[in-house]
Amino acid sequence: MVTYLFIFHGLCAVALLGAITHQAASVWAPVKAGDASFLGRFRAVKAAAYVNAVIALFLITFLIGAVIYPTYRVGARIYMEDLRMSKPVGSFEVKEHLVSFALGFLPAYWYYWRLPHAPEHKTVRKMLALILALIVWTAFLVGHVLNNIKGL
Amino acid sequence: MRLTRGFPAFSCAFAIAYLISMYFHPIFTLFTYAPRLGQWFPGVPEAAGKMAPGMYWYSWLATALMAGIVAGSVAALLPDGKPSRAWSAAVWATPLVLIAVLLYVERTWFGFK
Repeated sequence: MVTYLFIFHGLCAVALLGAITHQAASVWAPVKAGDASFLGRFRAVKAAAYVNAVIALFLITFLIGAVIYPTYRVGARIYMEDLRMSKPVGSFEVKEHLVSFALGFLPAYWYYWRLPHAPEHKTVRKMLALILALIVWTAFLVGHVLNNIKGL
Repeated sequence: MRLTRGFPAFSCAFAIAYLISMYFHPIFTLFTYAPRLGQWFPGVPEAAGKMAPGMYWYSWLATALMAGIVAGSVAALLPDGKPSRAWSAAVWATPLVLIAVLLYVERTWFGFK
């Protein structure tokens, strides 16, 4: 069961990565008129349309992570501690705290993105999208590397 | 009163309270989960060593949630008005500051003294 949950956790994380990266790219590097390249199309999305998907995917990924976390704690983490692999263990600690920060900022993220054309909130919308994207990317990469060291 | 007006305050309070709970563990640790036993214990049990490893993350989240609800409720009760630019800046500056503090707190894992 944990294996299925772990795989689903990873799949949701991939979908979340895609959604938040599309959004962050579209607000930080808006597409120029006539740019039909791959990167241009990647950025040519309606950023506000991703808000609910980002929140839903984050919550699902987070909840599954919370369920499978004890398996990591008594398995992979102890394995790495026995091998004195402090950097991977510390990386997971950082990931754990970063995603907790991100969880807390989802209501503010929703609040400022619910009116995507309010000019007074443009900066906060861009910054929250960027911060969420950086956290999601960090969490994904840390999880991926740790799974390569010792899977659940 | 619109509940959503309290969301920015909720977010800032949640994240700050989470970091405080984690850093000052076990002062704000409400409960402990023992994954080997599959049991929850109030606070940090004195026999924590015997049931190791104990997990406190769920408790830190619960503490953060409570702080967020209190702060968000207070903010929602305040008189109507548009959120100021300063408040908007605080919402994105808070996670950046917290991340910097977190990286400093966790530096020992990566060989920094």
